[in-house]
Amino acid sequence: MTARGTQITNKISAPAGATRDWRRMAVDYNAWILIVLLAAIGSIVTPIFFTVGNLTNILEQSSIIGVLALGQYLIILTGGIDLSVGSMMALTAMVGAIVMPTGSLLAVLAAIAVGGVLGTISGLVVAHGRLPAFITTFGMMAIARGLALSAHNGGAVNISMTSRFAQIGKGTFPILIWVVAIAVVYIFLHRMRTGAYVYAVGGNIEAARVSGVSSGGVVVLVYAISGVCAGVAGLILLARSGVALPTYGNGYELQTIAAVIVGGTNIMGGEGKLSGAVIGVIFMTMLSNILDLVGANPFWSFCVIGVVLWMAIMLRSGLDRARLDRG
Amino acid sequence: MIQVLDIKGQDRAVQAPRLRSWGSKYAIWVTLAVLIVAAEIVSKGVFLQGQNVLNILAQNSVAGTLAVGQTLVVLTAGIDLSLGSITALASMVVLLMQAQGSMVSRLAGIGVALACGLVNGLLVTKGRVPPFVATLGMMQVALGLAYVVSNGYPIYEDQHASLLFGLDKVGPVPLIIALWVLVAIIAWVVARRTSYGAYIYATGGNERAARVSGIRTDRAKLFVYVFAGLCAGVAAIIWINRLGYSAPNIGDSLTLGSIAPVFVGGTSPFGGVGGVANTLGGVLIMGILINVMVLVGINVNIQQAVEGVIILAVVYMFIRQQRAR
Repeated sequence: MTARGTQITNKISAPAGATRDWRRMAVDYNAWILIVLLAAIGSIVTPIFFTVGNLTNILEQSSIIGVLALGQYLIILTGGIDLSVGSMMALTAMVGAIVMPTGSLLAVLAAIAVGGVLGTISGLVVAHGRLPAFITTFGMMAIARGLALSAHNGGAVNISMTSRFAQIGKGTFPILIWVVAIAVVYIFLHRMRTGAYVYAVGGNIEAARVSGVSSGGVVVLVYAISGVCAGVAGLILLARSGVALPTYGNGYELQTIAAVIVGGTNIMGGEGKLSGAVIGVIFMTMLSNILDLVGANPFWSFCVIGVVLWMAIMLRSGLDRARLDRG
Repeated sequence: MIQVLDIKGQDRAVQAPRLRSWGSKYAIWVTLAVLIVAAEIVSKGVFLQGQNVLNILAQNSVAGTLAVGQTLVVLTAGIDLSLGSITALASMVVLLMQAQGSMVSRLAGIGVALACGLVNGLLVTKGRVPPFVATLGMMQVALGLAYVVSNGYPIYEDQHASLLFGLDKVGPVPLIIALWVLVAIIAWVVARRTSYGAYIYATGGNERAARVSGIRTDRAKLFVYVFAGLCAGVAAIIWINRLGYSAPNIGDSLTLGSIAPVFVGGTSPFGGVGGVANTLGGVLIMGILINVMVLVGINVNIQQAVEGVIILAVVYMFIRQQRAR
């Protein structure tokens, strides 16, 4: 009986093991596979694509969404979602621009503080009010947008482009800020105990709570971080453009979510790599860059982002289901 | 199938003290009544004049129609973030095809809206995509299409198309209000008087239990997203009839407008509790609040923020009340 049992197990697991490895790899490295494929396509359809100038351009364009996506990534890891990143960024840019005349350092601090405080409020509502994350952050999206609109009576605020502050938007400086932010999040996730709790809370919030993780604290923290990221992104955008518009960031919530999901993070939380959240952003920018280069109607890129999000999620859940069925 | 509802109703009556259950059931109507009295006093008697009441109803007929569709979606424990964008896309289609006559162009608009709703429904049921992600994607796809077909410009009616046989009003009552109420009645009948409605409530109440007891929960979910798409098509027609133009970016505020009344009316964000009548109460409450804000001269820019705070406050109270049980 036992022998037969082993035999059967062997029979089943041998071929399935190979496919499982393949699928495991596809899940682990899907962002890398996708971006290499996309870069190959880009190089074929247009010679301008694979030039240093264009690739730097892609990184520069990625930096703002990239910073926002870091906060989104941490929140999705805990099983939440942040629909408010775009309108929070608009609000922080408005605050930064309005405070700017009294000093650039003060403006930077004010923008980051506003982002941090509103993010903390979202976190408290999710963690202690037990509201679903998408409703909380949908409400916060409306609140931040309403505040951004009323900050200067619906109008834009210009800042002086000669100021020292404007320098941070020049050239590759935004990329540098993004890299520093990535390093900070990496250290938080992999070198600090609270970082490990982020994965634990997303994997199984009840189990995490029972084993003594202060899940509420972790949740509040990630929403606060996302708010701070919105503040940093708002400041980069303000420095780059020299003007704060209350309409900034429309649709950025979708772009960041799509980037994080394409990067292989599970929408249900608990798993996903930081590198994926970075590659995912570059993938999304590269996609619209290629569409631009081939002269597509820029409005199509709205649609493409939505469709890519759908495909990434279905591909991921398809691979997961196949893994469960066989494994 | 009505039995499903009865059992649930009894269950709740047994668990909850009678007074609290009465309070939560009628809280919305009490709030509405208090608000109407307050508005009448604040506005020194202007508020309840026939013309002002009709104005409020007409102003809210677009968001109100969307909120009816949103209600059925939320009853299945879903959410549709794309209704504003679908309305924008459908309205652009109607206006682009206006040379073909109002009948053809309106049907085309409704057809596009239904197709968007169908895609949402298939993503949620067959694709197993969480509703807020599926419809967030559709929000962007429909927005992009609205921009593509219009090249980003607003489109105006060449010639005003009346709503019905050359009529826009019956007496003093704009027909768009009647159209909104008609959609609401249809949704109410579906939800409360058909087996489909019972499936919808059962799916939202406890999806696994519903599925185990043989209810095709996927069909109920597919239906609500398609119906929400239909509502967006009707809302597009109302928008054009009221304003005589449309633009690809009209959806931004409509999404918020479609969701706020549903939660304010007391429909549970977890599904299974609430309904179309609640939402109509919610639409009136939000409409009156904004009307009063305008009357007392509060900056219109802050409106969105106020709506956001109200959504959070109402859902918070709802959840606290549930936990108290």
